[in-house]
Amino acid sequence: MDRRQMTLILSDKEMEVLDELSQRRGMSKTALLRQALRLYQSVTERIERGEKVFVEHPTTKDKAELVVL
Amino acid sequence: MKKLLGAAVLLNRHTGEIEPAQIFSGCDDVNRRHYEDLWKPELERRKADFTNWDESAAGNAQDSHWEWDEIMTSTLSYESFVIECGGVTQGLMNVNVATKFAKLPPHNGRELAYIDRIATAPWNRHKFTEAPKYKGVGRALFATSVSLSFDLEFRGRIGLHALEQSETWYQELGLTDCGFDEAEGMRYFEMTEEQAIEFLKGAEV
Repeated sequence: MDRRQMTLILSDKEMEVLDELSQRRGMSKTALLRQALRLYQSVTERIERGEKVFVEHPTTKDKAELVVL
Repeated sequence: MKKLLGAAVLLNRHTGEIEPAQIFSGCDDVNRRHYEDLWKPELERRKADFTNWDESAAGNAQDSHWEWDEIMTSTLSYESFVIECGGVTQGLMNVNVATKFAKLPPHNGRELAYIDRIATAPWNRHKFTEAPKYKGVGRALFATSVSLSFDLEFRGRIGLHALEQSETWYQELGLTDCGFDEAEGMRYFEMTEEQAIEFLKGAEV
């Protein structure tokens, strides 16, 4: 894979979240950010196509629509 | 963009010789032409031997309706791969790397590489033709997906829904049969990190 480098400036809080998520997901911070980009593109494209993206509660089955502005 | 990933070898069953093959990420117009001009007419001819999709499993032709040109997208969510041998596209694979998650413990809920589509050329298939040509296409592509999963830090985790004709093959590769998925109408298989490591150890022998 071709790779390019960039400098990313995050707030303390954002960095804490990045640290925590990368530990919880078992991935490096770089891999986690790349994965987040894939997901964000996928969600954005689906919504732009008119599709709806939901999250569903595991027991009540209540659905909440995910809206990307 | 099509890019050479590495080399593989395939067994030419007609000659008994091992032949060099190349695995690429992405595909180009040559691969698309091979599919349209070489694969598709064979698939459609074979499909016509059966009255419905279920029956076409007997002829190893349940993928005859796949439109690879639409499947091979350029979004970040999918990684596409082709394998070429003898100057011809021998296999195609499309992997979802964004929106599917593991179901098997201990890493259920974690990211995995989901094999959305994988196919060997019609002339390489048992039950499709009396004398299949190349052996090893599917295994080479599957190994590529396992490498991709490690590369993305998904720890080798793989998921897929299997066409009926391929269920036994996935079990032989070491994936766990997670049962019939009503939503997809197919059996769901998954490979854990441990199974992926075992698979790669076997590939080294």
